[in-house]
Amino acid sequence: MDVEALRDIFRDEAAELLAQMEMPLIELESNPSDSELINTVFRALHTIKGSGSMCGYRDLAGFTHDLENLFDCMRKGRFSADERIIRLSLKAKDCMRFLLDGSDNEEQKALRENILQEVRDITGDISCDEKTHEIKDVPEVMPAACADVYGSGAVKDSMEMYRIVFMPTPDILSRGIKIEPMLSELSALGDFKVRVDISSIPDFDEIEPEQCYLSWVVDLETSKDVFDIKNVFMFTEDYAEVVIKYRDGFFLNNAFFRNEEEREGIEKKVSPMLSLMEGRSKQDARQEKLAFDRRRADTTSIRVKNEKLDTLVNLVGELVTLQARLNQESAVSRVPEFMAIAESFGRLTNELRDNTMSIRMVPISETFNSFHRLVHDLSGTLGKKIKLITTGGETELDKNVIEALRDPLMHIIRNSCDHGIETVEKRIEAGKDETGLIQLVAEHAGANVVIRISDDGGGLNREKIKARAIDRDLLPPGEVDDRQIFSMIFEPGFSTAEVTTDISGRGVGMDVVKRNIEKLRGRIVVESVDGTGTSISLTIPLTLAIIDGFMVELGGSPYIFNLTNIRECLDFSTSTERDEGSNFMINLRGDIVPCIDLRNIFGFDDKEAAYPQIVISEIAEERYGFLVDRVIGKYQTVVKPLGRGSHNIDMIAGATILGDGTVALILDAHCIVRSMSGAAKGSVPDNMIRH
Amino acid sequence: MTGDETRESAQYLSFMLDGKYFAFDVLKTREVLSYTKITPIPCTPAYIAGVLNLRGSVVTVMDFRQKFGMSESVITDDSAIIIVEANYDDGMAVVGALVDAVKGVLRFEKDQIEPPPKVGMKLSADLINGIGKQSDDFVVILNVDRVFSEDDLSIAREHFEAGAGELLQGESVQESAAAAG
Repeated sequence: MDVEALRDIFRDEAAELLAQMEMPLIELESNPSDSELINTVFRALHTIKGSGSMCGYRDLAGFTHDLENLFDCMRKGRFSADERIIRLSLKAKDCMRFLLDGSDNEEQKALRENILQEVRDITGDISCDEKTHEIKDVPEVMPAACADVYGSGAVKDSMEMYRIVFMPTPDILSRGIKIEPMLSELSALGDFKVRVDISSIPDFDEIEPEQCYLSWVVDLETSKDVFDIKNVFMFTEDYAEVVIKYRDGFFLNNAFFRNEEEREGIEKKVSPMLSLMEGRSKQDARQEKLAFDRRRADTTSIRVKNEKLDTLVNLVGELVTLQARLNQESAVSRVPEFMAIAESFGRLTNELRDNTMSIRMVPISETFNSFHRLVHDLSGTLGKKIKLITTGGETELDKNVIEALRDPLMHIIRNSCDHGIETVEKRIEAGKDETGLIQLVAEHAGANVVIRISDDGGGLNREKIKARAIDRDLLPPGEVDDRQIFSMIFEPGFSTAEVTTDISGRGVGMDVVKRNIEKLRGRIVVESVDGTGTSISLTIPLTLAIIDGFMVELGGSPYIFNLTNIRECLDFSTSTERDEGSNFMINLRGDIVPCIDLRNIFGFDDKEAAYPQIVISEIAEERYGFLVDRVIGKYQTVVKPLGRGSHNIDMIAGATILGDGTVALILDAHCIVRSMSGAAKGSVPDNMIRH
Repeated sequence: MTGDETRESAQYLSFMLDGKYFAFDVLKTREVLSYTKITPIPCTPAYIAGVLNLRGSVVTVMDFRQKFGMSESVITDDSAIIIVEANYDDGMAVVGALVDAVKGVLRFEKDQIEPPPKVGMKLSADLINGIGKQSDDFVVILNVDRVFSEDDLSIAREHFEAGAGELLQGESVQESAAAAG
């Protein structure tokens, strides 16, 4: 592997670690004594420092070193995390990000110097190592379980027997972890005896020379406490199972079990380890293998470049197109063998498509988590108390969709913080909790994901928005329903804020939200109750690349609707009264349904089909009919972008390539309805006129 | 364009529109297709002929006769679609031009190309890189980037940015790059 590839991997990994650092840092604020949080950050910093200097990121490694030192001190309880440290660490994290991206400049350098200076102020410019032992009995920086272990926090001086079982995953050596130094570190702690368990070494033929088949059992008699021992294994956590048994109970990795009573619960999980613990050798090879398999499954995932995934999805898209063609041909040929092949091929293709799409699905939690930082920073700047609660982070969405969602979500949350949540005084006045709450919820709803951002702030000012909208001729004067009024906040340049802050108020953000969500073929619903809060729901389709389409014919060309909108199809009797425009009404089982004559909108002047049909679709919970020449039926549609120069039409969402190689256009029913309701008000959009 | 000024001689792909010769810089053209079915797009200016399937990606085709205000195109056996790479503010895109017939590749020395006349031209001088002469005929050398991104097109782009999918557009560039590679 050449150095550049190694650096690439490092960059990816470090970026991920930095992102992962953010959450614990913010949590530390409310939970400054949680040593697990500090450890997480410390580990991340340590890894970045180590791999960074290996890959030639000297500045980064040097900078990280001091930070690591800071966290090491906290870890050892010399001081606990306070607001200053957290703020500093977050800033430092951003600096590291810059260094990682290679976008270093004088300004950054100065900033880093400042941060380092402040860090040194805190740590007192001494490495923490010498100080380790003085501070062992600081109960408040240890988690609850540890306090238990100490009894009443008494200092331990007497010798204690420990039995430690260290059972690495087979691939631990390839992770760059050396086992020998760890063992010698252990031996330095006290009276030390080690045994190696060789029972899982396979037959000679099957030995992979790069794998580690050994486990170690260490008997240690020392005056040090169990955390010093645990620290030895700090960096192996992901790659090994460690059990430390002593008088009070035992640790399995990080979980503490108090003696025998809880033992049964974990016995099944790690029985080979327990048998090692008892001094026996692992007898049951099958069980031992199970334990390995489980761990292997935990660590086996691979990184794949985005482009490769995109190419794969494109290829599967081509395949789906080809399969549609094969289906068409086989239906025409009427050769049974051929048809059977086409059918099986179709089934496989569908499975392949679903699988490929699922590879691109990633949980939205990472995006959600990044907003904790945003809210944290904003509440500082605004002088408000705001808490962000996220649920449903495990909801999976197409990677591209998630990327496109980041900006809109950010704008909505900024808006909530700035305009929604009131100041502490106002909140107390209104009888609310002084801490404002923003909830970020994601959940599945059919082929869509709904993301709801709600705050318990002051709500939207309905009258102010309405007045402003009428002012700007966006709404007709008179009674308008709430939904229409609230949708005004997404108009470009629309703002009722008297003062523009640097966070929001220019009326740009929400416009971005609307455009981005529309690009994703999603919709936005705003609900707001004056005085109690605002809730914005985004409904986003799971994937962009392939949809279930519904094909119709119009003016001799095929067009495709999104099947999720379609409710039913009707024959249309030409005798129904229609005025000259493109709108008319039909009576559908007693309900009046507005219909749109697509042929008229698209300006086809050839003769109408003899038996036109109406496609009833449901858009934003209202039913609309579309008059088309002929209904063709369901069609697997690979969405392709329209080529340059023709993507100006809102009403066309994209194109797809049919089995016979021709291009069919995908209609955006939502946009058509919207532009028609706009046209009804008398303002015909420019692009509706055929030049 | 910069390329033309530095090169001593260059090659041009010439084609016919309404009996007159036009040409694109050969380095901007990617391929020539014989006429295939173009899917019309409703609600677009008449000079947008529609879209076609170029080995899996969707490419917009402009009707150059309509664009230059000539009489309506008649599709013959000679009708052809020239696929070119046009530069836009935000990157290269693959677009097509529907023309009456493709003639061939010409080589002009630098000094053989005259600047476009200030008067007497139906086309805006902006769209023209220069005029070459081939026996008795004039060959109008078009500026590919400008011809495909004229004002009305940039209006169209604004519309697009407000509506359709930038996401998708990114893919299109990628796809075309893949096709080029």
